[in-house]
Amino acid sequence: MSKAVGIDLGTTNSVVSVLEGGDPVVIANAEGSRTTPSVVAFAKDGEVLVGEVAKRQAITNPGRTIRSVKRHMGTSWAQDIDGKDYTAQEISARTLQKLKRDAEAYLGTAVDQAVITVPAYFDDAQRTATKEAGQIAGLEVLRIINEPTAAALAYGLDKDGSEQTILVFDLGGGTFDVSVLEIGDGVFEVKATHGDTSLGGDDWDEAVIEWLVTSFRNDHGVDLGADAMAAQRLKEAAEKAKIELSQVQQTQINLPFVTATDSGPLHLDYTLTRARFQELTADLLARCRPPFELAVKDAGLSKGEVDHVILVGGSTRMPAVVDLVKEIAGRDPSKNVNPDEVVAVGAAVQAGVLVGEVKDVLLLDVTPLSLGIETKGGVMTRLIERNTTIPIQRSEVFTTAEDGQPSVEIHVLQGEREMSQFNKTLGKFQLINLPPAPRGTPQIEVTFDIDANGIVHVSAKDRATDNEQSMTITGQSSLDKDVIDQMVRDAESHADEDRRRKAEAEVRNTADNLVYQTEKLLADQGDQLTEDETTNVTEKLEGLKKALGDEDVEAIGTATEALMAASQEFGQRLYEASQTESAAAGGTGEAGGSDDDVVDAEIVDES
Amino acid sequence: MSEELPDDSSEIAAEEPDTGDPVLDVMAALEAERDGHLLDLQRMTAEFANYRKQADRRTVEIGGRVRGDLAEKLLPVFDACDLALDHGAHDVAPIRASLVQALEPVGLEVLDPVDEPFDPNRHDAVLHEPAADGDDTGQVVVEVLRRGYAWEGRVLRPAMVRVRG
Repeated sequence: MSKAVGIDLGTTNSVVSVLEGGDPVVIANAEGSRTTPSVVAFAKDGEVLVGEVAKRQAITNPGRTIRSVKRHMGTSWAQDIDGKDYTAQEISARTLQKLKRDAEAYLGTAVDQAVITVPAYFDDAQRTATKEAGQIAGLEVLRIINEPTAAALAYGLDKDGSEQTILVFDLGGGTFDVSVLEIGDGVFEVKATHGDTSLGGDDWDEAVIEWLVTSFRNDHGVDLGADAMAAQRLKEAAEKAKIELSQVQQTQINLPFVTATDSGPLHLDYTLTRARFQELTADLLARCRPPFELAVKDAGLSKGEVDHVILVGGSTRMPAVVDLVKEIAGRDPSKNVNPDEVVAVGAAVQAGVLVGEVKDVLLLDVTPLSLGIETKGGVMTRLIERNTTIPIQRSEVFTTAEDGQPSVEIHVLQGEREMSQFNKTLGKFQLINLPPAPRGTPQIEVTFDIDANGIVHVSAKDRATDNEQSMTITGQSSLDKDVIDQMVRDAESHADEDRRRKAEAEVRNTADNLVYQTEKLLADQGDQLTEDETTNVTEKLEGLKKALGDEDVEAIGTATEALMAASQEFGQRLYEASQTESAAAGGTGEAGGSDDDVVDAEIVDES
Repeated sequence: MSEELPDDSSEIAAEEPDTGDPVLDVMAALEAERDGHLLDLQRMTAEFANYRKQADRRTVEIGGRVRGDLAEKLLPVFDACDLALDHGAHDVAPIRASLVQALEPVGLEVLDPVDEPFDPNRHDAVLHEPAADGDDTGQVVVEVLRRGYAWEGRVLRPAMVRVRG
């Protein structure tokens, strides 16, 4: 079955994405990169090179290497190669062909259909040329859509029925566009679009390079710009610094042995702060302002009338750019989708809609929150994680916490917190009449089964007797969305505290286990221990039991380690002896207790 | 353009059978619906089976790539060694050699293509000079300004080169 992809055919870079199981995935090219430079070259031997490879040979083959052909789409531009005139669409088709090939390699199936994006300001001729480029590349172009529209689709903004105003701020590698869209009833209308076709992230890199070259010349009197290798290293370092400064307040630019003079090698080592960087590039940021303000004005908007702001292009990660957008649009931008990929993702979503990728009958729901049961120490052990697609069935085998425990309680919980007390109780039931057995021996299989309607069926079965109890919980997925969001947020905000509590519970459980194992060992095989060993172990054992009675978790941990160390020497010896005696001696002598077992949740194995 | 879309299998059920007998009509409609669901199930099952195979393959790929990414992070160290050597710090040679010795057996390949034909898949040309008169040996790497590196066949960073021809 062939697939339909979404393609962002950019001026400097292109991206291809596809829906997989309803979710958009950006496809890495054969070289392992998620973006492909829109550069095409005709090598002297006739081979056509596309992307990074074409860029690398550009200097050796300038007359036959074509960049930014998008700027010529829909014009009479043509390039003569070996006596044949190539149009802009024929060159673009080479880039599309590579994306198609890379997508086919990734998907393992033919790719025959695509949605391709174009800037909102493209006229009819430019759109027709883009469509032709797709056809030349062997793609049926399902639709040509506007880049800002694609970005809005990636955020699912068409799903909300109400009328909305969307502002898309697109600062790419070499071009800048601002568009205002209006959406109602799933129909997009471009209200205004402005831009600067010669402003992009590369200009920010240049500013950093210039600063480095100037600083180095002032400090050492050497012009690094004149040295090809130094220039290349500066370019890489400048881009890296720019990216880092979006995350941190200052960065170190360090190029050892950048050049040499008669007096020896020179190293470049500068610290660039975000403040200095913003100062160096203030003029570039200022150039974003007029097109931005014009677009807002042309659309007849005033501050606060924009419902959504979407950022497109890697350069929009710069905090100064985000601040500018906030200031003019009067709203925080959405940034869940990678700005380098958002246009291609939206195109893939559109392609999915057009070929009916997701059919109603197969539209499956997910569990909004995790489901599980309470296990020893008040810990919630999850059987089904949140966002699992339903229907689903999951089983795990649990065991008892006490010797001769006659029943177990199955406390069914829902929520994201680690400790059961903070989660929602969906129900409780008892599995009774367990035959008397040492703790850890019974195998109780707990099964969660959620059908396509979200009805949860929980059962617990004692494998020894086939004795079974169960309960059915309806309507667990009908929780209000706000409540679900609140629960997820709570879990996030309490994550550290919960992790600590869970860790404490685990320390206690491990200690408790060790006490049990050690007492059992002393009772069963105490006669095989030397007197010194017995005294030592008994002393450490009492220490641990005392610690368990108190609240100090650290002391429990220390006492556990002490007891483990005391029993380790002979534990191994006894274990080996018992192994040879009886192969079925599972568990005995497992004094190490190094597993992170939570007893009563000692998961034997999944059946 | 949506009207050009291929038929949806579930639409089979929407066709109106007409045998004259209402019971048979209902049966035919239900059979069609059943077949439609079966088809959906088969498609989903097949898609999942294929997805799993893809996922297995990608896992292997990603494993190699992650190790390659780690090696890529070490490239500045290699560069620093090379540059130090170029500037006469010969003591660095054994350090560089041991780094290469540690990584070459597990997948690292050093690209040092002096006098080799220029190959943009593995080399990045930053300087170019025309061929001498009568020289038709094609494009050749005459100088490596910075070595390149590959990991399990994938180029981490092309060699930065000067090309003649």
